[in-house]
Amino acid sequence: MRFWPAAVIAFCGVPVLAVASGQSTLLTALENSPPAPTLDPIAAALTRGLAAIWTDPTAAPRTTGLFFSMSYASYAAVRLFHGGVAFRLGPRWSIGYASSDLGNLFDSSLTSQDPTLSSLRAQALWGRVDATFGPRRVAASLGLALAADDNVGVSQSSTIARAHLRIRPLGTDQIALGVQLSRPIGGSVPTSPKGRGSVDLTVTRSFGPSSLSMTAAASQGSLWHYSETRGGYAVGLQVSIHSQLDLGAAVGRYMSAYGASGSEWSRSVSAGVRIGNLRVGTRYTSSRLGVGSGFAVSLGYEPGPVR
Amino acid sequence: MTMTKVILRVLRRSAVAMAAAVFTLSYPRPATSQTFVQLTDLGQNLGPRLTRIGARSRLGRDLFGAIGTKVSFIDNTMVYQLATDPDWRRVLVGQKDEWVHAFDNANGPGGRLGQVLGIDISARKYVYIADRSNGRVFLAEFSPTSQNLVNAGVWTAPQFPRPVDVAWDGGTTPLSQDNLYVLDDSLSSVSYWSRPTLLWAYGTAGTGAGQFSRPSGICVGKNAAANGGTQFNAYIYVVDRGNRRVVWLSRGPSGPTWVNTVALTGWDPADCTVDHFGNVYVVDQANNHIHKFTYALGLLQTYGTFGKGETNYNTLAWPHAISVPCGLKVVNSQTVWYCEGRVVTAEQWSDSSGAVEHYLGMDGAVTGQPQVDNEYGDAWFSYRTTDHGTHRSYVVNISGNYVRTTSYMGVYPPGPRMEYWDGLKDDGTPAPTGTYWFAVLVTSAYGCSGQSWCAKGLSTQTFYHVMGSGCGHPCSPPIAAGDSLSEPSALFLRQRVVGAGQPLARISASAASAPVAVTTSAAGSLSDLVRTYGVRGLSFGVPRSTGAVSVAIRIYSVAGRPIRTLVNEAVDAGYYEVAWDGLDDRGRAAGPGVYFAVLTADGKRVVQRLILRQAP
Repeated sequence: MRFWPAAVIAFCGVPVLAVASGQSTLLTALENSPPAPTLDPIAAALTRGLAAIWTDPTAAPRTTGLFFSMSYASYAAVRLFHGGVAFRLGPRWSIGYASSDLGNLFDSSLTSQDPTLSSLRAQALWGRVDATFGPRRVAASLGLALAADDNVGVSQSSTIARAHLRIRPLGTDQIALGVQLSRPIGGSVPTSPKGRGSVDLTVTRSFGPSSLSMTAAASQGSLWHYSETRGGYAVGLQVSIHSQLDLGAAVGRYMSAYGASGSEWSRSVSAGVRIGNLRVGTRYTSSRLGVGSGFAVSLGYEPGPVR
Repeated sequence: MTMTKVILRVLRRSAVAMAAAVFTLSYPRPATSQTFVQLTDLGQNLGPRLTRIGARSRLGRDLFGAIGTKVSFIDNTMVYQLATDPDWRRVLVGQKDEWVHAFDNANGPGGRLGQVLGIDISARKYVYIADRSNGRVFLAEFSPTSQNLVNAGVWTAPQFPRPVDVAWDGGTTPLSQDNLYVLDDSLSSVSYWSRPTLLWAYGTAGTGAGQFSRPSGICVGKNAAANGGTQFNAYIYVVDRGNRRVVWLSRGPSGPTWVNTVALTGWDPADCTVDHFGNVYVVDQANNHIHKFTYALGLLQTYGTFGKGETNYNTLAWPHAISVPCGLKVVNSQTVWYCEGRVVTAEQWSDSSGAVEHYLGMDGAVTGQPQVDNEYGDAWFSYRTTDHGTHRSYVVNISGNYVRTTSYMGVYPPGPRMEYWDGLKDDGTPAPTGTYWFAVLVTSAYGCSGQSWCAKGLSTQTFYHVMGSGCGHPCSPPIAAGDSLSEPSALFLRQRVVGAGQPLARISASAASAPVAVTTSAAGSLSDLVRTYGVRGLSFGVPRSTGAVSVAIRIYSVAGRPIRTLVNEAVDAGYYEVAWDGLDDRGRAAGPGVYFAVLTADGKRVVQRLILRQAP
């Protein structure tokens, strides 16, 4: 029960870091881009290893270690970094960090006129801490996140509280039901009053050391006023071969808050390899902007249990 | 029974006669201004003002104590009109050529109407009336069958203790959505309702951003819908009368964003309305003008002078309210909601002034006389128009024969435009050396049956053309002063700092290389301008080798989701600019941040960044 201080902090609110109006799309992009090899921000329950702590700490409630992930959108030089560490100190604590930024914000026709433009940035930062506890049958976590954002001089922040609950009725991964709630509790970013909630159901069938997992998940709501999506649903499939090679694919449909259409498809494939205590993951996400628009890799050191 | 029928028949005929006299007063066609036409029905029955003396002479009675606001609702061939009367505390409801009835709700729920000012009617015929003295919004349904308002009700809320105007917002589905803006002059605020739920309230008293002083009118942005009708967008315009300005807001889920304001010297803005294409009309009460603006509040034209009298056409007498007739029509076997291009003003009610309908027709002028580049056999000129319309241009020789005819597909917005000639005749052969001139016929996008006020012809001075090789279609763009190149050597896409969204326009080479094209007051360093406006504009060039091909510019979020198609049309070789208004393809405001503009042309692709500093 030593996680309660974090929970109390999370749900009582945290002082605002900066005040300004607006919200960067980079912050939204960061929110919706989990580290590799996580397939999809909604269908995240399949993730093995430390990458799961970013989206759902209860997906791998006992795993400890550290990891680093990088995503790169080849069309426009959007870079995302994720880092994380997980350790046991009473509950399993996981600390994550992420950033997104964009190079070459201004073209030469502008920077040649005013070199000081290069001091303007478009970037977003995100840090979070979660405390996860519970036996394998029921895992719960409470966490707090702090997001900060700089949109060419408009700086602001948002504090988010989140809670996860994952029930494995059989005490194994055969069936798992997850519930997540996230809600902004402070900061200058205009918020969406009801926050976001999601549920997922994951079924796993084992074949000796290999397994086949399927997940179906749905999400409703958004964290912020200008979040790009207002929820969605996704299904994912993952094959684990000898507990060492994971191959996955997911497809999701997201309801857009703004955009050319009311909803958009997202398709991802991923692969993860575990060699000893090292796990290497990669993910490719297709978007309508262009082939190869999203590519992510990760490297993790996981001396603790896989899940 | 027989006597009753006779009485009813007499009463009905009297009502019909009264309505015919009031709503359809037939007068000879005015011979004055070609662009400012009074009428009671588009293209027909050009009529005078609705005045006290006119009503008396035809009806033997007064019709109004005053006219607050007058709106029209068109149901296919039926034209209904509703007008508030704040002095006599009632609403007049009429059908053109048929009947007119008064409604005061004396025995209805909430009791008699009070100082009724603003009025609006939705596609589903829900009527909203700002009843200022009673501190409420009066609700009713308009029933053509009952020939009056029915199912009346009243609605009060702390957000509008003194409502002065209402504006219905049908969103992108006007046949099903009935949200409402209510403007209050005691709180200097506007509230937005999905009745009875308050979505947000905005504004306080003052002179700064987010503040109003004695606001008097509100209108909602519109644009042409894909179904052939009209739809609402996220823009809102508030007439901030005490501060002598009109404020442009953009609606968001939890409140609007302050986008921009416009203020004209010495004006007295009183009310506003928006037409089918999104142009904004503002009545200037003290100066007896109607000012027409683009959706971004760029002034297009000012109409009207002071004048009273039923036959004193094209004049205004202290106008204080304005509206655009809207209603239902069938397009492709589907009923759609649409708005027109004419406007209805409410004036001071007197013996010789009252209410009048105007059509602000197509106008234009040549803004740049022909320039020639005889080395290539090219010539061009520039002109501007005041309304959405179709354009057809000609090159005419000294004998008056058409040498080259060009028609442009689609409807173009008002504003500046350039026309080019490649030195060729219609048959593709070079035009002989000689004297020529340009002619352009611009026809209103609202339709035109040949009247001069809806079809404007422009002609230039003559120019001398020396037969050259002919550059072939498409031809080179104009060469601005100081420009050494008339077209780019390669496809390019550059960022551009622009104050507001603007449609695709052709520009000179020198303009294309300028990083700033701020439409509002531009001061400070480029860095300061970027901090103020972001980077919403683009300039691009299409070389001759890829000219006359389809060019598309699409905006994507950083997540790769398509947001908006900014340009998708065939263009000639040359330099162009365009600026994003921050809305998506469905008229919703995009969030602040970085976006990517992807230009594709002739199999090539160029990516550039756009930065929204704040949501529109």
